[in-house]
Amino acid sequence: MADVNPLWFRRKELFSAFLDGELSAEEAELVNDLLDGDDEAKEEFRGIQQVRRALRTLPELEIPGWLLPDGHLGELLSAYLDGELSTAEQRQVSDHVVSCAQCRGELHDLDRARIAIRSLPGVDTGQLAQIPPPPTSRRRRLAVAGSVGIAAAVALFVALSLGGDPEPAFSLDDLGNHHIARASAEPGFAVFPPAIEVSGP
Amino acid sequence: MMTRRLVILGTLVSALVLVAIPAGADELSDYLDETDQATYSGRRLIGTTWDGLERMGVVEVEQLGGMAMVSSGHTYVMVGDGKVHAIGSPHAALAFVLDASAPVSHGYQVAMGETATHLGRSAAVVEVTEDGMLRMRMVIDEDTSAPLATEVFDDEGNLFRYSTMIEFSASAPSMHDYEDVGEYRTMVPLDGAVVPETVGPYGLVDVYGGPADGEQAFYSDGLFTFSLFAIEGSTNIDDVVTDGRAWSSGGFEYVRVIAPAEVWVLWNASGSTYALVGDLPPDHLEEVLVDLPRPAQRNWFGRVWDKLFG
Repeated sequence: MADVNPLWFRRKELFSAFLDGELSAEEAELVNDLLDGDDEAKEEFRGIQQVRRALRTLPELEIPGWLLPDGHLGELLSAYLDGELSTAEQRQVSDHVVSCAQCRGELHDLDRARIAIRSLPGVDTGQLAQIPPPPTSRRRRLAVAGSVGIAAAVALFVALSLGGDPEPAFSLDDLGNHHIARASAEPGFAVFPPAIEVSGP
Repeated sequence: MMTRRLVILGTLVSALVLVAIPAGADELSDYLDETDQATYSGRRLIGTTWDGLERMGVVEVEQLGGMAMVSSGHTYVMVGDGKVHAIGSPHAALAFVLDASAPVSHGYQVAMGETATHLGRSAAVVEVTEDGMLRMRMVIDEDTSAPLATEVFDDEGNLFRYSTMIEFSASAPSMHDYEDVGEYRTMVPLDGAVVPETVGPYGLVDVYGGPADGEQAFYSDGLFTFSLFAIEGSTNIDDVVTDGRAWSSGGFEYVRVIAPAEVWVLWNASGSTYALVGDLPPDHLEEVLVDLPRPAQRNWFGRVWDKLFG
């Protein structure tokens, strides 16, 4: 039985490392030896080469950050609030937000900004969807803070200009729904939603 | 001889069925969980009575998989699993609940054993006592675990709240077509909010960013729950509440609103507006208020002005 070079069984690994330029001069010489006069090895080498070339021609796909182990939701939060996600995506966002304090904070800020803008008279909230998402978390926070500030300033200006009695800061319906939403997650809740018109028996 | 043994055995079994079996907080949690997952539909009468004031209403209700559709007239509301979606109303809300299971207070004891018939259905009666006093009685349908009737009592044994099915079906046909398509106001738990860990017999469960830039602290004793909203700035409460009445507790003046399923208390204190809403009974509510900021007292000029001009 002819002696078999022990490197023969590691040849694919060596070829791949060779093509990546990760081998030392001595190891590269070993690859040369393996290819020398061995048609099967040459065929395998060419195969690996072709696969690598094909991979390089593929378009670059960006993995969504929130799918990474330490990723955050980014602009998905905005889409979530706008109701633009699929049911599966909504569930993924919900699951992530429950476990991620940073994304909860961003969701909270975004929601506040939306509410502030909505409260302005004559603002078409549909335009919110056209606001481009800032590229980074820090810039997003700044933009949100800016939006809240601008909204608050405009609201104050409008209120001062119009005069008269200011609207109450909250409504019982609004508070009641927040309470019921939270209470409904407790077992055995039996509530009477405030939005229902009560009719006597 | 055999017949005599059977008679004795039968008597013993009957006695065991009729004698109430005391149980603890865990069993109460189980009952509440089961009622939450029951499938049923029908009409429910619900009301609250306190100090001679009574508010009641009738709603149609369907429940399936922990979600309930409650409707009256032309409006309906989807409630459950941390969500409220009032169709046709801008007030939909969605809570991200980190811990949905507040422990039941060890002060409660549960007794079960009697059976009853409600709307022709066989039902079990569960009685919850607190310090030996009857606090709640639930009539639970044996087939579906649906709550057919519930009564809550104050610390003097007076009926405070009642909820009873006046029509009942062990199915929820409309709920199968329900699709969650609401756009919600999200309620995000706040980390690091400074609110009391306990107020009266209630423990803090979680805190959310509330409406109007306020905070919502949610408290529970495992049986009753309430939310305390703290909103920056004083508010003219008469602008917010249309059917509130002055109410005194511990020598302080509050505005109280009695609704069919809950009670509201509102007041101003320390430059903030507070609103408490929940299903807690009156004596619990008074205990809770002791641990919260007390209402700001009107000054001498204000009181004179009120007397002169109303």
